[in-house]
Amino acid sequence: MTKREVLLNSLLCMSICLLVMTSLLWGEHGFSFMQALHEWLAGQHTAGSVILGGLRLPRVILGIMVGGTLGLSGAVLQGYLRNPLADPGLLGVSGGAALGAVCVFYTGLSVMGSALLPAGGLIGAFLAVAMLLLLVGRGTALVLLLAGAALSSFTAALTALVLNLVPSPYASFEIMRWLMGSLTDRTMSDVLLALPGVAGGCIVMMLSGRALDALTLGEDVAQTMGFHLRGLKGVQLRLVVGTALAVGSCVAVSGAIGFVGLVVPHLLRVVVGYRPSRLLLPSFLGGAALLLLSDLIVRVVSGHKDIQIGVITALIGAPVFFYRVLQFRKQGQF
Amino acid sequence: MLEVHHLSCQAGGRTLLDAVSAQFDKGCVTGLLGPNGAGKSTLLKVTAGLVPACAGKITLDGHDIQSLTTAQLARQLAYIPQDNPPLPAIPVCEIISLGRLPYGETGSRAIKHYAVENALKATGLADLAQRRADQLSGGEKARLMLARALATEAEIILADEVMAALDPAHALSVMQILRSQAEAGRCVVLVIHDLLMATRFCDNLVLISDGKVQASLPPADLTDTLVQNVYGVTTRKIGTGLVPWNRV
Repeated sequence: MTKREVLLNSLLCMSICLLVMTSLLWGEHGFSFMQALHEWLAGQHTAGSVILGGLRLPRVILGIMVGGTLGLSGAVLQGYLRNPLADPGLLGVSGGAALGAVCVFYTGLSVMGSALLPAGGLIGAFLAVAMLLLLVGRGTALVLLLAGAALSSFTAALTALVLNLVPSPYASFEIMRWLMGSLTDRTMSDVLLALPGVAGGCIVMMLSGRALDALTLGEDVAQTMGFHLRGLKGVQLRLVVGTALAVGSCVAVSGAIGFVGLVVPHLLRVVVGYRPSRLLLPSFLGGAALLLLSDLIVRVVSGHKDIQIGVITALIGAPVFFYRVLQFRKQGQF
Repeated sequence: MLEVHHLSCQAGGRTLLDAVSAQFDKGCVTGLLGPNGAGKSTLLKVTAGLVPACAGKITLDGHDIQSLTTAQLARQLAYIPQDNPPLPAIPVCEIISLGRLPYGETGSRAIKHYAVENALKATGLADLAQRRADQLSGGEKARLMLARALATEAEIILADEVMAALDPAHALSVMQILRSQAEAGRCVVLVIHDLLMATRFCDNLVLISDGKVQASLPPADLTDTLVQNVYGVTTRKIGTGLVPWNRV
């Protein structure tokens, strides 16, 4: 790791710590943090312990998990597909998770238990992965890209169909709200539901750095350097499953949050350069910081109006992306 | 010594290689000659393990390469493809250090490895070590890909038309580097179309057409008749080499 990377990662870690503390401490209801923490750890149900442990802590943990996963998977997919427009939504897994959750809304199962909504999302994500793997087979990265685009369109069409068929305007509003992504009112159950998929998927993605570096020289060279790309032991299968596992788990609990996976790797390349392996850890940290910041803005700005976090990430991400596009044009990189 | 024994390969119902047998010695540059679509690149790809063979086997120092693990083969054999992808905005020295990946070496450890420094010097890229790879000229990129292969310290270098689209100075430079690698004891196999360069720099020539080996011979034995049979062109002798002259 170069000095620049160490400095960047340290800065991002400090930003995350600062944002975590601000998120935990800031709010309409003031309380003693240490007292609330002791009460929560002791299992006491006081106002402070419920706000800290039941509301703010899950929100913060999910912010790190979801933001980190989206940033990391964006970096991995842009590296693997060698396409600067790749993002986690590209594989169709986010769409599958969203469709699964929307079906839970539609069938009314969501009122029977809070865990049913993310469970529906997870089932949708896994069905999407299975369909994606069947479509791709031993195909190349281009086949993966096309299969992902087809699956995304298909799941988006089915989601729109469910929205059209939904009988109650209230349910329709709830679905739309969920689709735009949010960390509001999430509990530790959501964290625990998403944790295995996020942890497993992120470990798989983090370990892909060397293969992604080799792929910068093309698939043929990467293969002759000892990296299996296709088949059961192949890099492609590991990355698809890893990304799908982590992103599917996140979308299942937080809804589809856009722009983080696309923008964060682009922003960080300015500092760490274009070597894919160097982008992985900073992208995880940067994604987590961006989502925590967006969530904090949602809480500060929205007040009694319900602004979705996806709106904030897009509003932060799009101008930054515009700036990077202008930079690319100036440098003649595309 | 690298040998291919009765190697056959088919794709889409078409025979690309038909029982090809050839021997590639260490310390020698072997040029694969033949018209477009003859099977030269396929032979290199099958040898590199990129395309599966339908029949036949490949041996390295008498051992079937199937018995080698992927990592072992990656250390023994470096492949330079015909078409290089657009290179990323990564410094030249980092691209070359990717040649150390088969050894599990990455980062500054790989960049500072003597093999990377030697590759930079051998290819004349030492002055461009910190330049971004995407800003190199075509000739510099060709030398970069060669340097990456040299950094692997592989005994066998398979180069597929590395001189395509290079000006004479860069083409000469690439051939001299490959020649020096062979003189250092490596086995160099390259697909080449330039008959003059082939006769000047190669120790052996393998002529391929329609997926079959038509001849395997030293450059001095290359005749107008052989070239006519393989390429369908007549030749004129200039110095010790042959130059394509007219279509038959």
